[in-house]
Amino acid sequence: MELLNGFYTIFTTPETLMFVVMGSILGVIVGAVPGLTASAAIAMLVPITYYIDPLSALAFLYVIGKAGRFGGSISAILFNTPGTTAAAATVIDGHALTKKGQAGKALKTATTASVIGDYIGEFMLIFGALTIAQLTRELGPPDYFAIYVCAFLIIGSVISDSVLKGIASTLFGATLAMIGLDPITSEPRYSFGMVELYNGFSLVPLLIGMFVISEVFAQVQAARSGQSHHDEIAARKPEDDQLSWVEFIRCLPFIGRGSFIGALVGLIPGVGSAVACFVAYGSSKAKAKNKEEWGKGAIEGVAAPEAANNAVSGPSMIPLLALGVPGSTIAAMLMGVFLIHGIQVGPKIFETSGDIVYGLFAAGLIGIALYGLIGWFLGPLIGRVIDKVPQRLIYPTILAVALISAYTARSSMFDVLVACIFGLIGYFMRTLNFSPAAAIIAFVLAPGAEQALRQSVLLTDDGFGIFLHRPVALVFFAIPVIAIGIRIFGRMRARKATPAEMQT
Amino acid sequence: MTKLGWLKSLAAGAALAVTGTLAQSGEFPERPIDMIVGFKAGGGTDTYARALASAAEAHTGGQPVVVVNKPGGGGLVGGRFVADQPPTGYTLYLASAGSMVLKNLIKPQVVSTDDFKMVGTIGELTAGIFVPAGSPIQSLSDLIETGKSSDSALRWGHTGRGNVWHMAGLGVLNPNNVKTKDIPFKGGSGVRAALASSEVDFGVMGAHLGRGFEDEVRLLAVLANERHPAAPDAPTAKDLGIDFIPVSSQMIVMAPARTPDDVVAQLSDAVVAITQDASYLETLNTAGLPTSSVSGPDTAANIEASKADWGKLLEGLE
Repeated sequence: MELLNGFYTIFTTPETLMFVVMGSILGVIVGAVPGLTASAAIAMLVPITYYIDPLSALAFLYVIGKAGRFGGSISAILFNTPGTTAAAATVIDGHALTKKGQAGKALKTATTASVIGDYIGEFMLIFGALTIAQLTRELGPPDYFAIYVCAFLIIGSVISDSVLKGIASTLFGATLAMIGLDPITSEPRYSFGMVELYNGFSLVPLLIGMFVISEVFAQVQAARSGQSHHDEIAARKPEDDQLSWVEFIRCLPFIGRGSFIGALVGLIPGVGSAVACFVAYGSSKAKAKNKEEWGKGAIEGVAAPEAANNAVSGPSMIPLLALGVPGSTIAAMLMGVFLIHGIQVGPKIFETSGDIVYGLFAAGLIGIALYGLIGWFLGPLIGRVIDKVPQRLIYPTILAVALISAYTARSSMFDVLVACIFGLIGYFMRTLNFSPAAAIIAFVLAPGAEQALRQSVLLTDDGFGIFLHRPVALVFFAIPVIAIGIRIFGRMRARKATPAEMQT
Repeated sequence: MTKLGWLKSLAAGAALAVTGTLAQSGEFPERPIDMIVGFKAGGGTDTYARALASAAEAHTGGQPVVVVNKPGGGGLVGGRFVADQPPTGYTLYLASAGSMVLKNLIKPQVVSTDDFKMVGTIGELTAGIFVPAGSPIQSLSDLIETGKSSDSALRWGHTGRGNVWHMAGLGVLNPNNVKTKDIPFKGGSGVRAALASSEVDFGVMGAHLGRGFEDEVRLLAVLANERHPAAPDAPTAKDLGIDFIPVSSQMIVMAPARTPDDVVAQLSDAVVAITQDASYLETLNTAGLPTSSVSGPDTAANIEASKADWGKLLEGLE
């Protein structure tokens, strides 16, 4: 009922509706531009929202976040460069499809999966926020630590072909995360006396370096060695631009699985889209019948992570609205907007500012439909336009935009330098088959895991024994152990059958 | 050159000289003033800066105050940047002086209050001591009694060691000899979540953070001399007659140390005027953030007094 009022408010306030429309267009664009992430764009736009009414301001930023998570898939599919971390898993199969001339099909799959995933997440937020918040409220540091360990192990086991190189990449990312303030003593660690490193590396320049700049280097190398094949973005056959009903039905179970994983991950503060997309990709691949096609351009490999990264959006608002704990960077910035407009975020918000909250939900639902339309009709068109631009113009432009984004996030030249250095590191990691994505995810997860572990130990007098008294923690510790156990068992059985093929 | 032409250029020269002197002596803000905030847009300090900027123009001869976010180093990156800017009064720094002073007392940092002249105080966040809503502890004196008598140490959450709220907590725990074990959380919302799930026995965070969470956390007392606008019913530690050292986070506008005194004085007047402006007060009242209006010289005196008090607290920390 309140939701209908929310729709009514938005459709009768042209200004708010305009911000929702602008948010979806802008979100797709910033998401699609490599290096310009949705959270960086929101950070730049927060000051503007101080001068407009709270519902318009919140709806604007919220919809940018949603559309941006989708937009990242456009550059992931077309350029092999994820526009945001959320699209890092989409690269694998999305770009493989582009190489086959099926960019249009990949974009439409991504659009469909994102929209369905986003709606599932949003409905979970609307109908379950308070109930779910009651459950998550009881989670403490020991449970969070178990959840982090679970995510680490699942991602680590699927992210790379070589387990050893996957672990090495993960450790590299976790080491980078050690730089900065110690979460317990607040002493700066490994900052080498540089005040810029006092709080550690920030995510945006690292992301730009590892993904965007390293991709530009890889393209330059391909061009110089004469191997430059202009990826065929335009479709050869008309059906390559379409997603058929049969293909859609084939993707549906993967979209469902991805949405469920994304929604679950969204509930956990600080974990986020990048993790959701890899967990969804990994677990869906394990379940797929056409495993050998995955990585070579399977549409299911686009559908699962895209559904997951957008399903994160709605549930990640639950800890913010119900507990006042921002679950993501975007949620943290939205909290600032609530604050400046005098809205107290917390369990009472549904009573005190119900109109704004339900208006925001309605805006989310409208925004999803809008970016879905943009993606469905304009995605292949964007692909065709970009196909006409020569590569020697595209990649320098991407590099320039990436460096500007590295600077603007914190107005810092230091971050530009960081992006360049990590561009080189990312390039060498790629050529040596290490996984930049694993490193980035470890970088995102490690600080939370470390803090949760050290808090847990401080909270008790019996050291690690605290985990034994926590049923939730035990469940999350058990999940990866069982999953990995099943895998090892399966491998051993396969080895008995065909010993020659198991040399990897 | 004709006679007339010579006269003309002389007149032009004289006019130039006149306007030149005018520009130097009189109208100080002849272009927009940058206010650097050491945190991201959307945070508490940023909110103060935006509120100040939105009410500024009427008091700065029509020149806008532009807020620039330079996050990093717990606000110190922005501070160092401002300290290195030309001392013209056109680049100002807004920071929690409490946090800057504390960090420097613990260990010399890249930038300290000595690198600045104080322009004025525009707000003051004070600490509250909270317990989970279901806690048997009913008052601050209850808490102190429990802490003294129980065998195991009470566990309390704060926002990071050496942070103002950690110090504010020590400011009441140390003088009363309460046995405790501290656990740092990420930000006030982290402490609040830990209180809501009863992971900790009590917590210290900004007193304004309890608003809207009355069913989860209970504010025992405000650790300040004056009551908090967001929780006017909560007693202060002073009301309760409990021995404590007040530690607060004062939002202070600063200018680089070599800025001329007359410019700083002018800015100080402007800041005092802005902080009494109705629109400034309204913005911050809706956000539940306490305002204050203190001139530059008084601000500098407050900081010196705090340094002496807090030094004592830190000695007890080792």
